[in-house]
Amino acid sequence: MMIRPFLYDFKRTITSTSVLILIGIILLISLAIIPFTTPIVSSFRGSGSDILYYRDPGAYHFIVFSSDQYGQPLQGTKISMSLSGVKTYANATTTNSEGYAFITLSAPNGTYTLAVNETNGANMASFGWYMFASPIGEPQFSIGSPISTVQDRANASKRDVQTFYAALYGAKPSGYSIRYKVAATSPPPPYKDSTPYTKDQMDFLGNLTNYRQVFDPAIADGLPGTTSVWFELFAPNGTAVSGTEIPVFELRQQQFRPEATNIASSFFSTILSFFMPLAAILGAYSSYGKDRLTGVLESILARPISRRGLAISRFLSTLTALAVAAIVSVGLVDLVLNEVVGSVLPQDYALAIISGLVVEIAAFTGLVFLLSHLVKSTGVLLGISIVLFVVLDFFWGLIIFLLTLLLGGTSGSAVALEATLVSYYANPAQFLQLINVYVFQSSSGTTLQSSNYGVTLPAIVLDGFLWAILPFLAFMYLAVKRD
Amino acid sequence: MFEIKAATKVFSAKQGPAISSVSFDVRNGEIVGFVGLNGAGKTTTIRIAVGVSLPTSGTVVIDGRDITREKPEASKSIGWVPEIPNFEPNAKAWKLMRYLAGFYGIDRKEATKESKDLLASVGLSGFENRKFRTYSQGMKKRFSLAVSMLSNPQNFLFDEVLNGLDPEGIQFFRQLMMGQKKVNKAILLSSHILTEVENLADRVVFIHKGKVVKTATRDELASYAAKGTTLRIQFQNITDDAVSYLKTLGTVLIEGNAIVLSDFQGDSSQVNTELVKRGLQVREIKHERTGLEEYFFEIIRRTDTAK
Repeated sequence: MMIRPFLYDFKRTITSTSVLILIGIILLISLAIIPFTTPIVSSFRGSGSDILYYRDPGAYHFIVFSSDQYGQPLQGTKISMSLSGVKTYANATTTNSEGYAFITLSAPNGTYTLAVNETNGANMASFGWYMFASPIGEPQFSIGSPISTVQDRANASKRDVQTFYAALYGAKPSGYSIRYKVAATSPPPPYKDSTPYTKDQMDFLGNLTNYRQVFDPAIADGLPGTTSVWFELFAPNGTAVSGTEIPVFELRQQQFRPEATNIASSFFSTILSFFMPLAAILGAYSSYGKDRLTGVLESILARPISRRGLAISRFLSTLTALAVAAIVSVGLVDLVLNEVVGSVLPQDYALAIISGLVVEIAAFTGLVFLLSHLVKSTGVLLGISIVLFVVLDFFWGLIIFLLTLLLGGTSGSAVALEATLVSYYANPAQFLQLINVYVFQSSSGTTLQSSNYGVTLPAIVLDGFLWAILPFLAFMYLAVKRD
Repeated sequence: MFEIKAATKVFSAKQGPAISSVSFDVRNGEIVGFVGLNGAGKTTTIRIAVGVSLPTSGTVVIDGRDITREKPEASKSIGWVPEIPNFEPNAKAWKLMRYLAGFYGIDRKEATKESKDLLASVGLSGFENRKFRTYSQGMKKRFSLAVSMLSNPQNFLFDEVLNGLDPEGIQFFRQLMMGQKKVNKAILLSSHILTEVENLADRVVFIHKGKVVKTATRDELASYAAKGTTLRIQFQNITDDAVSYLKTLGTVLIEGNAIVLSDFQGDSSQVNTELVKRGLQVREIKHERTGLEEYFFEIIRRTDTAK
């Protein structure tokens, strides 16, 4: 094989207009990561609602406040609650227009396990808590705390202070106030009992007039993030009833964003994993399939280049162009994540993703090159390629699901999960899913031990190697040995 | 020079070989005509010779290099003009030329100049910036010819290049081939236009049903013509007596109720008189010019009759 014509064809193919356009599109698509980094506003704040309770001699009374991430009340959240001890006591209700729900469970004083289920639209939260015997009438917290922070609705870069409190026997707080003090050190001196500052030593923030209120503390700009701000709730008689220390960085914390790896994994396994096979199909069609089936390739083959050289140069140039696009794309995603989220992908994960994308590109490029030797027209080639793409990319899950049902499995069962995971080996379009399952040890939000389902590193490496090499070898055989 | 050695091509086991043990050579300074009916195997042979198709068996040696095993080197010595030139349709002609020149190691600057020069030399001056798909059939052939001359190859293979050309185009190709012959190039010309082949070729290779059935030199063709004319005698019914008589006058081929009498030298009216005397009903006696076309059909007839 003369190397010069090979390199010439390689260079010309990799710099052809169609390949360059594809690279450009891939890079543009990598910017689609940006919407993935936008804050996730859940119907629920954190893992659920704020709940406090008090008891009287015959029952426990719960006050629940359901809010979104901005601390805004959520009406209509269904709250189911049960106390399990010697006996189980249960009740349910929904939150009112102020986001409150009031539930009474006629249980005697004792030690219980509290279980709460909340549903608001498609959002659900469940949690449990131990409750110990408590004094009559005194408000107790089971979930949340009297002073916490919520995202400021108008300013994405700061958080406000939320109070959630009740007077004796669940009465609305009256005469209570919240105060704060910016301290240079943590814990701030003087620290007396549980109250570091007296009421007079602190700055007034607001009076409590309802169970739940939001206050905007005027924290000066330029304070170091580690500076502590001490917040205290004072009863009408001036005694501190609850206090908490919140560092300045938490008050300036931006809205909740998932970490870089989580954003990237969902982006890679949806957008890039979807687009890369399509890019490989179009790239392979443009650089080889079309030319071969229209006969244009013969005008090249009549030049001083071997059949093997031409076949390898076309395959490698397509693969290289798309692989470079994939690498730059992952780099761009990393840059965006660094800029927006403030963290970058772990190197190992980035390499795994790049390898996975290269396997997808090699497999689909090889398959289209191979198909070019098995069909007679460009229309048939494109048709089969697109059908292959649609089936492998869109309908794979459905096909495996139906097969599982046919074989007697049930949706969501361990057998169905195993069938799904094992099926990823047979589908190059799902190769990134395989990597994600291995890296995160989870599938569709279900935590699992991937090795129990046959998803191991050696198996993934072998599968990737086979997908990268087998279609190429089959294509090479036909390209070199057959017309 | 190039030599085709026992080239066989089987596309499908059901259909039998497209060509079978085809062997001939084309020497430097020689134009060899390559004639045959449609489907005889001319294009298949040429495609194998230029390396775009693989022989099932046999080989082609181009200036001492095997086209299958040493293709890049062998391809440097070949200029191929296919019957239907097929290049990237959306590329501009001169850019396409420059791109193809790169395969011969011609640098970009040189290739740009050479492309424009070659396009001008084939009469495409002023059309360099047009896309290939906008070219007429004749322009495509001229373009393909320019491409075939990129590396100034020693060997040319022209597959039905004269098809679809206007008289000016045919004359252009004719002159070009003669010019290339003068500079000692080896040229294989496949064509249906047998008069052109007859005028240009030093030798003619006849291919029929995938096999070379005859290779004739210009001298052999001339002596065939000198042998005499061919008479086509249409009878009411052919008798053994008529066949015996006509065999004394030349070579006889029976086609239905007609006898084709070749190598005949004499007076056709006397033949008619003698046949009538013998009680035969002669419906028509027709003179056929003896040339490559007759020679070609005679060879085919003989081949088919022998089978």
